[in-house]
Amino acid sequence: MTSVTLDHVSKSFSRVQAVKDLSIKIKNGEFLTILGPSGCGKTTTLRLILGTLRPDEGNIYFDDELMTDVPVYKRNVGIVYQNYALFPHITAYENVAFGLKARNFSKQEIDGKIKQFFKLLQIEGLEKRYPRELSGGQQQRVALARALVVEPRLLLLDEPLSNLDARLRASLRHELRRFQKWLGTTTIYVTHDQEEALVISDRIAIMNNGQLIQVGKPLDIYFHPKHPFVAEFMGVIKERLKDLTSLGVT
Amino acid sequence: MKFLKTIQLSFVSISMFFIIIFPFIVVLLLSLTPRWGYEVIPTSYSLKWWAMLLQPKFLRAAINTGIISGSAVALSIAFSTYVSYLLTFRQFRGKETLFLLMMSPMYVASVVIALGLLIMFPLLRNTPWILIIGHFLVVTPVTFRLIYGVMRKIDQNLFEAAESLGASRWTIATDIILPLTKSGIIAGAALALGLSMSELGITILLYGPSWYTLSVLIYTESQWGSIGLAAAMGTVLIAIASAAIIIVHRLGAEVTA
Repeated sequence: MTSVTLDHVSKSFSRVQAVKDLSIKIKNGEFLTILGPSGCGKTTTLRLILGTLRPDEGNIYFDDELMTDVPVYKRNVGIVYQNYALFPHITAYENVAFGLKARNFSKQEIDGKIKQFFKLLQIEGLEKRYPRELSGGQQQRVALARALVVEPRLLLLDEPLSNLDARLRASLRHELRRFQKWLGTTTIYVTHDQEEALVISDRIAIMNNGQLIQVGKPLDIYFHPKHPFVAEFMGVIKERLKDLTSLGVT
Repeated sequence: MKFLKTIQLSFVSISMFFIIIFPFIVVLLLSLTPRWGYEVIPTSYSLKWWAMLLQPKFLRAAINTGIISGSAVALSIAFSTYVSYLLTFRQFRGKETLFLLMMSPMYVASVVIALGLLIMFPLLRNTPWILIIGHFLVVTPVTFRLIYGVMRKIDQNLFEAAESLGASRWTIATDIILPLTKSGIIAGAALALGLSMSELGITILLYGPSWYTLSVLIYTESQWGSIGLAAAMGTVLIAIASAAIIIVHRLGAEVTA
């Protein structure tokens, strides 16, 4: 259970300024979505919080702890990627056990925790399979189990649903939200999908060109955009809804 | 058109046979006959040359070759793996230069490398060390290219995910990166072993009275006129090299450097 504070954070790559003077506070237990078009700096922001990138300026805090110079492996942050990033040469069980082994848990403790999480994520019976023997949705659940089993202070999700087909995406979306509420882990979710952001989040942070444009509750963002970019970006959905209405679908 | 294609294919296969396979067969026949005059194929056969291979001189050469090639390849694999790791998973200046440096022995004439080593390490003459260093230089571009080729295709997210789970750099290297680079390491070792055991260019300048290799003996014996003996040793080397090629081919699907 952790709150995250980004305090005037900036990051540049050679010539491109990926994140410009970003300040935001993510509350304890909150589900925050960072939404924006590709190249807007959302993944860079995520990697700054994860710790694989160090900000050029500004600071990052977990609760009141200064994390700016704390290395990745000491931050206790879980991450799930779009491509799942499961270790391909070991089984689902060993993938999930990896973080527990690094924390020197005993074999019984590891066994118990893994059983619990495989049950929770409904992937029982897949323990001995290798990642290539699992479907996309199953891989996603294993990746989620791997990130959550170590009880991270913070869960980062980098477009975790984009590689799945539309129906699975919709059902996993709700499931993800349920887990998060149940576990109470502060979660930062990165996506470029407006619809996904609207249904899953407590709050949405909209980014463009490395800058934070607007932060707010989904309905506020949707009905009261404070910036032409937000209106235009969220407007994509309104257009789609209009199309659907005219076809008599909704 | 089909006719032309057939001609093309048969031309390729026939020339391959004469250029690559035919010399092997001749070497094998040479090692099995006491005398080969003007006949098309030898008329009498014996294992005379193969029996002579059991003399101490040749056993010594075989042991030397094992020691020198084994050590050079082992060192080269370790070094190439480490450099590949740095190039793939660490950020620093001069990556380009390091890459070129690793490949450079390939572009320098082996005679030049040998002369350089002789002048730099006069005290190491007639020791295995100077040969090991020389062979290390010859095989490193090959091992490096194969290992780096496999390692750089490892998803960077795997490294980050492992790090976020609390694994130390050492654990990530031994538990994630090394197993995923295995195919490159095996292929590199097999190819480098074949290359090192048949290496002559550097070896002929660096060998000493007690530290000589099979390839040096093949050369000197054939210079002295003992073609059959040289052929028997050559057959041994061909067998080892073929084994290496088969290993590399088996892993071929995974290895594209």
